[in-house]
Amino acid sequence: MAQIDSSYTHRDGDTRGIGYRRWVIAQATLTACLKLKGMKWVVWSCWIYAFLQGIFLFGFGQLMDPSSAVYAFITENLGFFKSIGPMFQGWAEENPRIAIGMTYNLFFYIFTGYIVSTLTLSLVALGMAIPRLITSDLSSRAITIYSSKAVSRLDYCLGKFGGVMLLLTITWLGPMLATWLMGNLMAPKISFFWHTAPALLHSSMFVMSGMIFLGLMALGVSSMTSSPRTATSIWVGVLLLGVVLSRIGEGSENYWLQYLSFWFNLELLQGWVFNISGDFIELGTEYPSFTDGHIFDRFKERLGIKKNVSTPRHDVAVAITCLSLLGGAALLTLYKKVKPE
Amino acid sequence: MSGAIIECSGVTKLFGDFAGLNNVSLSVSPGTIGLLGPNGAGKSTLMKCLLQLHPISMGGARLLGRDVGSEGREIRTRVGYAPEQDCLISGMLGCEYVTYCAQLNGLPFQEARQRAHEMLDFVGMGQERYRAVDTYSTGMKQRVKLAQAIVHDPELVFLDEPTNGLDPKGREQILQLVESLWKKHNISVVLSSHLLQDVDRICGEIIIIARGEVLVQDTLKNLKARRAGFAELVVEGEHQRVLEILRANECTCELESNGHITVKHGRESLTPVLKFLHDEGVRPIEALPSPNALEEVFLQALSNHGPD
Repeated sequence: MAQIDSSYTHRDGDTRGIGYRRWVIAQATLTACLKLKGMKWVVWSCWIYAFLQGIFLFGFGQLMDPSSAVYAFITENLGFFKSIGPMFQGWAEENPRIAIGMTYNLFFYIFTGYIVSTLTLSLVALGMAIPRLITSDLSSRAITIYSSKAVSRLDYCLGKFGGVMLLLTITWLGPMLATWLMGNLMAPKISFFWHTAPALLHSSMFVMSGMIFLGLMALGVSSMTSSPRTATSIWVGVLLLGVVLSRIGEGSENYWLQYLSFWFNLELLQGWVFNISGDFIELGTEYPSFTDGHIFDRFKERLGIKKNVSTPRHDVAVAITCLSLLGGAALLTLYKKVKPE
Repeated sequence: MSGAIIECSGVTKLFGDFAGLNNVSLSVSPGTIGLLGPNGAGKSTLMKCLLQLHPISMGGARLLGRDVGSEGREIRTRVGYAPEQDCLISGMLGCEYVTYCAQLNGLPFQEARQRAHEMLDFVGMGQERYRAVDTYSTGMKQRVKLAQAIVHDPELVFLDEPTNGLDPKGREQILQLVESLWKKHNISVVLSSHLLQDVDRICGEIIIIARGEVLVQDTLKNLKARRAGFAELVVEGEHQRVLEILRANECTCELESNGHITVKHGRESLTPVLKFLHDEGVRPIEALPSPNALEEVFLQALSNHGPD
């Protein structure tokens, strides 16, 4: 080992503020997560999924344009679309808010929150990342190093939270925005941008609230233990418990159990933000012949819309309260556990 | 810098009913300060309280003229700390780790990276800096810990047992580096150790702590002066004759098993002793004034404080 004593020099540069230091922690957290084995595959899957959704939206846009080659191909080769295509065009001319806006709203309702969606992939990404968030700092006692620098416990937690937000932006928010942008950029008319703006707003609202909640939960779980395996197990346990509580409470006397499940609460929040029921009510009013029928009812049922009423506000209030309580519990865990030694 | 760098006033740290620090009051000037004490004495606790890693239960402290309780973040931009434990961030390369620590102190990335490499050069890390910190040996970890503690050019560095687990060569290198921080670069150092030789070697001021209380605080020079009436002589052969000469000159002396002669001469300087030995034709190979002064003071302070 060479010893070059003369290399020490005093510095006279400025130091950056606390915002920069929090950003540095966030960046380092994201970098550590992306270095994990398999994480790149999950991220790629999210973006491939977004690309496929974009292709789907491109196909939908082409249905509005009778001059397009795709439209000609679809209507000639797929019998179902022979009648659907002209109907969509008619709608698009007559009522673009319903034909384009409402359809996008429905698509993004499905894209952002369903089982086969970037939300699921994001939960997988979080499950993989959890040992790297705070758990590893607890086990290596790196918290002491952070605490000895010009960052407080709050700064550390904010930085880590920023890191989780960045990860979820890459796996959830980013792909959603890319899908919307791709669908609109490849749409036949520029008017798609403003007709689909509400869908973008709803998706962003839901995804960002989901990100904040899941980010807090992930940090809370990650700070519970210094053992990576235990942390991952707790995360999986929390997810499974959510599913189980939701199923037990469904249709039973103990329906309140559902509110203990963050899945259920997120679903309620999503239903309220997207207001799909409201869309269907409006659709039924404007085009009663379209919404009458067994197929449509089954479709609504599969989306979880059993009644032609919007999600009750008090249900949403309870859901938001429960999510806030869970988030609060995660914050309390962080406060208790994130301290040097 | 002038004035005290560390000021403690009745600092007490309680861990439940146990007092890790008990009413510690100190005023320390810039320089190289040695915190001495047996294991569990409260050395690390004092450092951690000053850095706000542990909240102070009672009393108050100021570091570099600022209040520890209310200006912790500002203080920590000007202070470095190398903890006793590893505390490395798993998965990072050595140079990434030091760069990251510099950024955490507010250095922009480019400057942080440049200074990280300079500091890794300074502490003698070669190509090992491009290895993951998880794979480092104890010596490398100690060097990286030192590098991260000084990368932001602090005015004061706390080093908690920096030579722990090092081989003699590595220990010597680290001590040279630490010594140079104050002597060449004007960075004050608080060195915590239970190794008296390390402290004796580089520190100008000594604080002895036991059971959470400060027993002694003085300069090394003054502490050695307390043992000024003692000496150790190394002579070739004729031990008995030398002992007789010394006793004839009102000295109490004893022949040690290693052949050295310990002398209690009671004078302020060793020169008169050497003179009368010289007059008798005895030329010692080596003469150590106040030998093991620090050890003696340390043991005496502990014994005065009562048994552990």
